[in-house]
Amino acid sequence: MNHIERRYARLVRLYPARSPRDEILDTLLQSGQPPTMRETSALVLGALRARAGYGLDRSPIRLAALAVLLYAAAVDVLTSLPLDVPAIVGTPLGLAQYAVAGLAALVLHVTALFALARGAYRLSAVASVLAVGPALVALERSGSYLNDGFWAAPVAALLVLAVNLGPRRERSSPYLWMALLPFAIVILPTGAGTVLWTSFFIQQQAMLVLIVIGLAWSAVDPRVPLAVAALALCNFLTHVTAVAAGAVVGGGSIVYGLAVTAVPWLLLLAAAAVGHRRALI
Amino acid sequence: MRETTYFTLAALQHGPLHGYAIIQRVSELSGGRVRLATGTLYTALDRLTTAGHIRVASEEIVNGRARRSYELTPDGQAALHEQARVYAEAARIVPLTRSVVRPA
Repeated sequence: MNHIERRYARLVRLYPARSPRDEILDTLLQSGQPPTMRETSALVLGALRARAGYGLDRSPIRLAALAVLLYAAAVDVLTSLPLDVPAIVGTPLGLAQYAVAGLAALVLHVTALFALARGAYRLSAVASVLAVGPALVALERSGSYLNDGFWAAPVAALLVLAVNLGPRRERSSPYLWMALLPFAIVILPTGAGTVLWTSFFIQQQAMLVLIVIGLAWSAVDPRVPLAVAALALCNFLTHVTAVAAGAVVGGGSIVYGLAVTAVPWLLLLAAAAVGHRRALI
Repeated sequence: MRETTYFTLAALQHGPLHGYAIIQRVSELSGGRVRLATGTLYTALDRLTTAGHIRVASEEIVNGRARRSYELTPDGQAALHEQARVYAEAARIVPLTRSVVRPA
């Protein structure tokens, strides 16, 4: 194996095992030229695209639905935390606490997440739609209905319903999503700052990092910017709700705040659209 | 249909070709304007195979490595002809001889 062959072989190994690595290497070696910058970047991008596995036969919004379901479940964890179990056991009206609604929403969102990951789209749709009521009641009763996570449950339900319109059933492991739940609570804008004070800082920076990753990854897989756009959309809708409820005062700052929360998801949406067009044949 | 896809399908219209031959044929057909990088070619071949426009015609072992040839499917042939018709229609509305505009 000569020097050129070794360099090409290293690049071709970036492709997943299911790709025709041998054949790609054969084609590269037929040119007889050492790897140029253009060829190297095309191979790296091609390998990343092959690993991402996005194609026209894949749903572009399934990942967004899974991400927002995770976000909704993370919000539910916080609203169900103050659950008073002795009160439920000891008193007839013990069930009348918002944490019970939060817990019900959490169970339904986790069910929806598992079902969607496993390819049981209808069950996921039923569970995510049923979760909207308890999730919103828990947030409203806990006094945090203008927190960032307020729109997670309705947006998740709409996305899961939209996924149901697609013909193809995709399956993936739900356990990775469940492993991400603790991180989602701290990193995503869940309003966890009232419980975990460090989240105040982390969540602002993490959302920015997610937006940058989403924009950068649009050339490889448009599902990623779309998923981050769905998370950012929840933020924007919460801001609009706060403005509509009169919770935000000041003429100029209202417009500025709306623009700041609108720009990320609009940018991500545009990046996803461009990425999707590149994936067309 | 993207231009690189059109030329890739056009390269296969007269019979099966393997990867490097497709790159060369696309360059010839486009007058050197479209130069496919190998990474771009195999992303396109993967998508065209998934879409049912091309399929593997044959496979041989050369220098210990697999070398597959690809051919158009009837669907791919139809898509190529449809795109050629669209391009021809679009070209028809622009006369290629440059007319001289005289000042009034």
